[in-house]
Amino acid sequence: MEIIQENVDGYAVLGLSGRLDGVTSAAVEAAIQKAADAERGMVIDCANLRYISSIGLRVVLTAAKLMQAGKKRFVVCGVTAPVREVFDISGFSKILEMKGTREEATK
Amino acid sequence: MVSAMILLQNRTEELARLSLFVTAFCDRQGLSCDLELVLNLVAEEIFMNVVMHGHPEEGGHEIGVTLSQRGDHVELSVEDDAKEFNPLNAAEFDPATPLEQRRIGGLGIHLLRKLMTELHYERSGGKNRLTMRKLIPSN
Repeated sequence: MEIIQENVDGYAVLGLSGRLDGVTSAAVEAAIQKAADAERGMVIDCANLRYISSIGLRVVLTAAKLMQAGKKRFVVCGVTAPVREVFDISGFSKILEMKGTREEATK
Repeated sequence: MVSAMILLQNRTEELARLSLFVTAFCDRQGLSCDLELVLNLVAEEIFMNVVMHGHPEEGGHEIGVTLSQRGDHVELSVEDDAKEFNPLNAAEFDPATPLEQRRIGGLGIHLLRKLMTELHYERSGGKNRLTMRKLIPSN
């Protein structure tokens, strides 16, 4: 798991690559907590994420709730087919704001 | 029928070995990337469930994971010596639950139900055994 954080127009953009699973979820959650004070909101870029399990979904959910509590935007972008299937089955695609690219996400 | 088995300690770090085991099996059997991801996901859900909820502390127990290919099905079986727990008894999860009402839990078993063709739980000899089958897509 590699986490690359950037700040784009008031958004904390977290680019994840590799696996978001039981081993890597704690590191991602820590990065999310640290980035939570971004002015406008948070974007999780999943373009290079090739695997997510339910523990990973919980981390995404935590981030969404954190942003919601602070009345900020939370966007997931760049989700690829296998990860998309897990997002769809769990209903996350419906309850979260999903965008194709990080440019669309920070618009 | 081709079958492979691995014994893992009940520790989170063992997930890395489990993932390598599943990937190696799929490579050897020529199974698709999509199927490999599904099997990895399902194996992790069950394994992490036993590690986090089956035993109060990490270490000292073994979890056996078996993968087999039988005809047009692939079968994944997980065996542990934790207290009796049938994950199939878990209440049905509603994927339409809004963000505000979402709570931790229930998601893993929902994924198993959706991704696998058949689930079977058995308690025998002081062990939990969950067997899951999936039809191998023909393309």
